[in-house]
Parts: sequence; C-alpha cells; structure tokens
Amino acid sequence: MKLFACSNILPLMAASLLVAALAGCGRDSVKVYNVDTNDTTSVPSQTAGAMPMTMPNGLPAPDNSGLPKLKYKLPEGWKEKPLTQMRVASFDASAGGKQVDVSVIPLGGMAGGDFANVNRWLGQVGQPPIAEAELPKLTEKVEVAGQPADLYDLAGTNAGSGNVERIIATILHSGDTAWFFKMNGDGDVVEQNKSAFIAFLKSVEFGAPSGAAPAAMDMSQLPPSHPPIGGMDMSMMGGASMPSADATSKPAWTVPSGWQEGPLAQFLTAKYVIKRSGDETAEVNVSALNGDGGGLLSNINRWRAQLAQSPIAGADLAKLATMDMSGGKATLVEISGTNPRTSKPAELVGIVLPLGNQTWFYKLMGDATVVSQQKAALIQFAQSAKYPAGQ
Amino acid sequence: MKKIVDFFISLKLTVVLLAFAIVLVFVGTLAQADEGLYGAQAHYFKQWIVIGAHIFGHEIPLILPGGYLIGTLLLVNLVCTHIYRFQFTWKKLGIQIAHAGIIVLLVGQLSTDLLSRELQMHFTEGETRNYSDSSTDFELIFVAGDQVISIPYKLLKPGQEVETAALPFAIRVKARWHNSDVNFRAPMLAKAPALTTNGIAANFDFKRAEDIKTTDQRNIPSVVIELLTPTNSLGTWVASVWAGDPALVDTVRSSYAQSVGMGMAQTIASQLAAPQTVTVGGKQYSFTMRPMRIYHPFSLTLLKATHTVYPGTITPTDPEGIPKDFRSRVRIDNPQTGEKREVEISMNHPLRYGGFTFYQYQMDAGQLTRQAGRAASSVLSVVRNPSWLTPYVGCTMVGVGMVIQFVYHLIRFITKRQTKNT
Repeated sequence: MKLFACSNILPLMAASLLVAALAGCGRDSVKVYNVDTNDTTSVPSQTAGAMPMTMPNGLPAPDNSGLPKLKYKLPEGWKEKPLTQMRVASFDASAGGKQVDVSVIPLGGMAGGDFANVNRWLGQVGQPPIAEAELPKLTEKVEVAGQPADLYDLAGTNAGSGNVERIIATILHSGDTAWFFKMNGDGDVVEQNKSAFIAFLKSVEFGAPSGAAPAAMDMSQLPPSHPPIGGMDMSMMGGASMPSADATSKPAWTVPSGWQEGPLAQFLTAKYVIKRSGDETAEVNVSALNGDGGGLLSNINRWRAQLAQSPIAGADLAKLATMDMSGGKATLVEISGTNPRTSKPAELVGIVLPLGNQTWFYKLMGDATVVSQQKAALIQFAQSAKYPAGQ
Repeated sequence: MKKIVDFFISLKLTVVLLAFAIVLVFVGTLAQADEGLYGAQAHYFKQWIVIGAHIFGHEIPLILPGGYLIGTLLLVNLVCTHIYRFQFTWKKLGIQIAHAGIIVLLVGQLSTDLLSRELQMHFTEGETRNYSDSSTDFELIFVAGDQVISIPYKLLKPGQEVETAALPFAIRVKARWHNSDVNFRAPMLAKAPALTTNGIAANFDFKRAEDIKTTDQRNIPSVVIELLTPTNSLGTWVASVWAGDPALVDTVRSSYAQSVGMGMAQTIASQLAAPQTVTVGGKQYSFTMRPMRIYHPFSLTLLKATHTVYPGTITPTDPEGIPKDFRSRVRIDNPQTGEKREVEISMNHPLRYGGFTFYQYQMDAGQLTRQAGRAASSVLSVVRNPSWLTPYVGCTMVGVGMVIQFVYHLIRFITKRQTKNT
C-alpha cells in the first residue's frame, strides 16, 4: 500500500532539513543587543569599556623616588597618560584621529649602549641592523635640558600590519643615567609631531637630581618562555656573566635535520630539542655572553657538576681539544656522567668560541646514546654559524 | 522517476551506506589522534564529503562521504522504504515501529548537531551570572554605552571586511589565528616590531600558535583588524581572547607572578586587559574578543561551592586528597516569573531550567584554595539541547518494535505447533 508518491516526499524532507539548518545558522550572524550597565549581573565584565582605566588597587606605583624630577612644557595637543612600567613621563600625541606614543625612560649606566639600542629600534620599525661605523650617519644633534644629545629618526614598514612605522628617539647621557625620550607610531603622525617633540626636548628641565638610577625591575626573574633581554643595563641584572646586548641576534646557521626548535629560556640565543625512539632526548643550547662569559674553567666545571662529575683543575684545560670555526679557534669539551634526576647515563658536548668581545657557548646535553649520535651534527652546526657583523 | 525511486528504496543503498559509515567511523576515530576530537568531528562527521585523512602522522589520499551525507541518504532511504515497501499489517507492525525509531534517532542527531549548544558559567561565591560563555565559539564585541555589537569569530575571515549597520566603520581582518600566544614586550627588550602600536599590541606580542588538538586544552584566537571609515583608516589593532577572557588574564597574571612577583604581574595583567577604544562621530566604542556569550532571562547566584574529600586522604604528598563530592548551591532568580529559589547542583544531579541543563563541571573550593586565600569558585557546564529526548524516544521505539515483532512470531510459532499437534 503506497501512502504518498515518493516525488512528494523528497521536497518535503529537503524543506525540513533546510528549516533545521537555518535554525542552526542564526548563531553566525552579527547581533546587536543592550545590556543594563546598572545591573551588575549583566555587564560584560571583561569588555574593554569595563576595564579599569588605571592600575588596580594595591599595585606598587613605579618607584621614581631616586630620580631628579622632570619638568617640561607640554606641547599643544599632547595628553599626559598614566605612568606604566619604567616610564617617568608618558604622553599621547594625536593627529587625524591617530595616536602616537611618547615616553621618557631613565636607565642606569650605559643602558646597553646607543648602538645596540638603535639597532633594536631599527628592528622595531622593520629595518635591518646597521654596523657600528654607520651609527654617526644616523645621528642628529639636539639639545635636551641644555645638554647635547643624539637624536635618531628611524622609519620602516611593519611587516605585520603593512603600516609605516616611525621612531624618533633621543638618548641623553647625564651622570650615571641614560635618558631615553622616544616617540613612536604611525609615520605621518610622528612627522607632524616632530617639531613639537624637539621643542619638548628643549623644554625639559631636571629638578634637584639625586644622582641615583631608578629602581630596576628584576629582569633575571622573567618567565622561562620570555625572550632574553638585550639592551638592558647589564649592571641591573645582578649577575657576573650577562648576555651581550646583541645576544638575541642569531647567527645564520644550518640546523641539522631532526632538531626541533625549543622554547627559549633566559639568556639563550637558540634552543633545539632532539628526540629519539623511546623517551631518549637531548637538548642543544646556544648562548653568547659578554667577555669570557665567566671563564672557560668555571663554565666547564659548571657543566661537569650538571652531570655529577668532580671539577677539573686549571692545568687540565691544556688537555682539551680545539677545533677551527668560522670565527676562530674553539675549545671542544666532552663530559660523560649521569643525569642526577634520572640516574641514567648522560653526556655533554660543549663548544666554547671566544669571538670579539663575546664568548659563544654551544652545549649538547642529554641521554648518552643521543649525544654520541649527535656530536658530529653539533660540530657541523657550530661550524656552519655565520655571526652578525661587528662580532 | 522510477529509477530514482528504485535507487532510494534499494536495500543495496542501505548496505553501501552502512559500509561507508563503518569505514568513516573507523577512519574518523583513528584520525582523532592526529587531528584532535573537535578537528576530527568537523573533518569527518560534520561534513558532506571527506577529502584526505590524517592517520598516524601520514596524509592518506581518500575521498569518503562525510557524516552529513551518509546520515541524510540513510534518512531518505529509510523514509522512502518505509513508505514504499512496508505495509500496515500486523505482521509488519514491529518492523515499522523499529524503523520509525531509527528515523527518530537520525533526525534527533541531526537536530542535536544543529541546535544544541555547550556553554560554561564561571562564578565565585557571591557572584551572580545571567549569561554563559561558549568554550568553542568566540565573538568580537564593540560596546558603546549599553549597546553591545557582537560579531561571531566565524565571520572574521582573513582579507575580508565586515560591515554592519550598527557600526559606523568597517572591520578589515588583516590576520586571524585560531590559536595564538601572547608575550609581554618589556620596554627595553623588544627587538622585532610590534604588530601595531595601537592598544594592547604596544605592550604585548601576539603570534600564531599551533592549533590545539587535545581536549584538555583549547585554542585561544586572536585577530589583527583595521577599522575603516568611508574616508580613512582609524588604525590597526589586535583583538585577542587572551585579553577578553577574564580567566585567561588571570592565567597570565599567575604565570608572571611566579617569576616577576605579584606587583609586576598585576601591572602586566592590567595592561593586557586595558581598554582598546576608538571614537567615531563623538561616540566611543570599546572592543575586545571574548568567548561567545549567551544571555539568559534569569540569573544564578553561587551561594556556596563545596568540595569534600574522603576523610584521611589529605597527606603531605597529596595535599588535595581524594575528592568525594563537588556541590554548588545556587539561587535562581527569574524576574519574568518572579521565581526565587535555591537549588543544589552536584555530580549526576544537574539543574534543568529554562531549556538549559546545568551540570557541575569544575570547582576551585578545596582546602588548598582557602589556604591560598582564593575565593571558592565553581564552573557549571551549561547545555542546551532541544532534542535531548529524541534518543530516548528512538531507542524505546526500536525496542518496542523488536519486542512486538518477536512476540508476534512467537505467538504464530506456538499457534502453528499447537495446530500441528492437534
């Protein structure tokens, strides 16, 4: 017995499926609704508008008590904004609906040096770094608080947004403190505010200086995934062997197959993880430290301690093998021992290369079988490195 | 026409579809290891045609009918057969009911897929919520005064512009990342340019991250957007769920607190959640991206979150103990009906209210929470599934149909034997 002709059924079913589908599609359209801002239950608690405009209660204000008080004449159209991080003055300058950020940051000592800072800023505007000899070509002379200072006007295209970015920055070395006056943002707006910025610099006055550098953040405690710190005043970091200002500029090198990039820990220029069958692993850490990086002997003995081995004497250094690398002669260190955490046999192959005023450390450490397999790869990797100019 | 009808009522079609279903379930299950639960669901089951599969780290070139196609064809096949072939006789009644039960199951599954929502409600003791957040869908919202303009993340397609009459500007999506990482740009260490110097991106680096494939983690999307009026560009910003989800801002705060101290971590967190605004025609719009929010016509207040453990199981090596019970006491407040009552929600005892089911999902209310000085909090899983009854109805119909068919044959068999014997 036929109840309906099938030809009637198919459109009916198609229609019901379409209705069901449309019911589900409604969630993917733009919606507009009102929330009662007086009713605390319905205010979107984390919408931007509901966010605190200033820091939450209980936050320590930046400690600028040791600094001379900054006086200045606020250019027309600039707005002061709440101080954050290490700033002692902070402004928004705007034109045509767009804003640029102006900041004043004092740092103790040389603050990483002008050359390193200019290269860092060039990086921020998407430009390649320059050689130190080219620095004077970029320098314009200006006056800040009656003292001569250097101004750098840097521009480039942001690869992320495609916008023209520009930084105008001035570094004033006064006593033990380097003062950074910086305006950055959209190219056109920076251009329109350049004369105001220079006038602002001239208007700056330092009141009753105490001579002390500002209290610094303890950057040595940044999270492990945080990029290493370049350009910071080394004396602020409380350690003997601090990374050089350019520790983060990676040399060009050929990474062996099977090495996977790992999360960068503090002071590391590069990190690779090598995994083999089972749970056998090894890690390669590359770092560059200023000077001799604390000395060859102390570093080797530190490595030996990591594999539960007794320290060696200075005289034993002469027995170590050396190898030729693109930057000069390097010392090859091989240590066998045990991993104190797993009690499994572990090995370490280290290459220490003094280069200019820095020392590069290549360390391969992990399960003994993986390290012995990867030793040749580490040497090839280190030999393939081409270091940035100036090193 | 007859050929088409014959095709749709053929038993061969059923067998072929069931065979494809077996292969699809097998491939889709294996692929979960590579593509993750939600990825595999979207690729194999919520799909009309499946092209290529990822199994054991290899790309397998294959073409299979997807879950939607198999389900729809099975449904058409079953309904057509039901109507064309089956006869309303006592002899076939059981089969008719069992098949109708399968149709109910298929339709119910389709409607669950299209209509159901899985949300979450987070609150600490004393807090009241009249909304739930989606854990898989996100929205870019613009807030002007009391008005909220919500643009679903799915509409934000890279390279395209979104325009709506509610906003005086268009949103051009410059980049969209399903999963992203955030990293604080400390003032003196940023070496690469910021994505944009507007808003939170001036202080934070956002970058694309690998999509999450496990179910214990989730993707945290970010978009790079440019706001455009008909005459000019208002600038480029990053909108990220990292900044718009209070739970994630808390995570960032706690992860930095361990290493740089609470003071600095508070500063970093407050900068991440700092307002991003744009002013057009004298009207200020603040914007952020957050988990999709669904408002309810009623509110729930968390009165007490209780986490009990078996006595004697808290030891120095296991300070959390073995959990015995999680329980949230909530007050329902419905201004439309004037209803105001207290309910207890615990494991296996959900609250069904207003078309939603509230299950106890997560809790932070143990001894450790109180020792650490944190307020006790609870997360309810909020599920809306208008067709939740269909599996029960379908299975009952199939069961009843089979019983009827069996009993009918049994009676006939017994009757026949009795007749033979006499």
